Amino acid sequence: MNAPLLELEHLSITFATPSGPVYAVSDVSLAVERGKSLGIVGESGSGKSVTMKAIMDLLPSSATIGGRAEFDGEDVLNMPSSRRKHFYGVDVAMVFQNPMTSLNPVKRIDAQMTEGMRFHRGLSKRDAETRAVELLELVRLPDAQSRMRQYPHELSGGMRQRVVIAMALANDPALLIADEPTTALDVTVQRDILNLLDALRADLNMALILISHDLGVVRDRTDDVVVMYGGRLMESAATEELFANTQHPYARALQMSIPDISKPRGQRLDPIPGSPPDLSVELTGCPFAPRCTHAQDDCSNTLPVPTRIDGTSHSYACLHPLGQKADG
Amino acid sequence: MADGALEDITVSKGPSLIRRLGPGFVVSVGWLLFVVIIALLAPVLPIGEPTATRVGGRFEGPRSGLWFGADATGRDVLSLTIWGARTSLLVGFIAIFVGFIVGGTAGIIAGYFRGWFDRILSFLFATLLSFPALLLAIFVTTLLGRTLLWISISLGVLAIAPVGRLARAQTLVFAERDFVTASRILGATDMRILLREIVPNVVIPMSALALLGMGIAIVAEGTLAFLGVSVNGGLSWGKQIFASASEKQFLQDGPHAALFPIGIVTVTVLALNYAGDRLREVFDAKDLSL
Repeated sequence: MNAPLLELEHLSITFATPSGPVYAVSDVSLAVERGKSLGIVGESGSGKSVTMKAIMDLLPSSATIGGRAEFDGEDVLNMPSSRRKHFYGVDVAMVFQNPMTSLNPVKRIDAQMTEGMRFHRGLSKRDAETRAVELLELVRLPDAQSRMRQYPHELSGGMRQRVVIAMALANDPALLIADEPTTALDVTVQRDILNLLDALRADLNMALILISHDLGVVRDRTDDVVVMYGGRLMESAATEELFANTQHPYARALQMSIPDISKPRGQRLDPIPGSPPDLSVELTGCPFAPRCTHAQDDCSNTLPVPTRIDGTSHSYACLHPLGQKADG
Repeated sequence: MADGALEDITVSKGPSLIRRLGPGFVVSVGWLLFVVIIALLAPVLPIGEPTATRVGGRFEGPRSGLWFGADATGRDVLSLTIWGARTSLLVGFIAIFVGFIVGGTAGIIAGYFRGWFDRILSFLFATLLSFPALLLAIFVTTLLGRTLLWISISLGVLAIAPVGRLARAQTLVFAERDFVTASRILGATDMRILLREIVPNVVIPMSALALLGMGIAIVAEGTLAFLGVSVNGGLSWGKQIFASASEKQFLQDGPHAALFPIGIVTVTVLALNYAGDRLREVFDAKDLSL
């Protein structure tokens, strides 16, 4: 069972735009094991969503994808359309960022939930509805039976996100991709939803990819973390290892910008100065170099290659890692 | 709440749809239904032949049995108005039907698939909008004949561009929503997404425009009548008003002959506009809360 469920190798995504190519994702490799969870963290434009969209075949035709993506030994990027039809929504499902826009406002919950099941599994209307109620109960939506007859606007944001999650679970996916599933929700609801996703992953033995811009969100809930910046991998490791033994200045900077209630009152957060790199220029050095407090002269003209710490899954792409425990 | 359970929130359902649309909407729709039913029942109603002359005296005032009075040739104004309603309402209906089938379909397809079809269509819409509307209608009817069908269709052609633009704009909005993406991930075909996900959402703002458009078409038919190019033979509100208003001294002798049909047209168009506006307001507001 140690073969990864989803494995990306040297994935690159380039968009053709009127003003030239945009290098959205460059040389990203990552893996998720069956039943495990992976957090992908980065700020806006770091390529985390684009990477997942490539797996979900949601990129516009202007995108060119390089590298390999394998799901359970199958090539995801060159899938025949007959297989593709029953791959998405069955083997892999997705939860979107905004539950306000991921449900159709003019269709009742029951119609939206049963559609996919009837298409992929050929269930009868009644069986699909029974299953839909089970799923709504699984995501702990109270009063599931009567919610089925309601329209999305009659539900709160958190309830809607539960419905979206229930829909994603309809065909027992082996992998669930959640793209910032709580960004559009109240802070109090965020935790509930994240805990729910984590509980579902454990109960259903499903792999989970949790995309977030918040390292704090990922910290307690994922087995592994990947930190992305400027379309590249900065650091990837088991979650505990990453926090205990941070090597990349960017991963450290992200941690420093999380508010911590145990810090003394009045102490300021450390924001990262500057803004993300222009991806329309092919990089010759580290994308983070212009904003990095540890940057040295070679950072801007040498592209750091991912370095693995021996005997672990911990790797980082930095010429001048923070070091400490690692023998550099 | 460590296990992620959700507290039981009861979401209030809010006032019913009719309540939110308001009494004005109900009155408007009631009036429209009344006019439509009367027009449909015209052949069996106890009213005189609309074309029979000398039913009353020249410009005879309203009296019992001749409720709307008589016009210049002594025709029954009430009967004329009821029979005229058949034509005018039908013209309005067919016109907006044509506008919706052609403009709506094209707009939705353009907004969904984008690309070259969208660019060509947007250009066509712009061309159609820049063309003087009445000239276009006169041109089409002169070319194809002044039958009820062709007049309706020529007015419908005028509705294509505004309807198409709205349909396209609304489709652009909804096509970007995640529920469309989700549907696509689930394996839905473009056809299914269009019919099941997009159209039901686009139809709401479009139905508001349909009511407004029907009012415009009815008034436009009246304008064509004034120019003498309305339905050849047969009756319509526009023709009736024009016939009376073009009589010499009709204001002194018998303003009622024109004012009754004018009043009916005004109230009907007002009802269409008000109902359309209310629909738009109520559904726009709901859209914002989503």
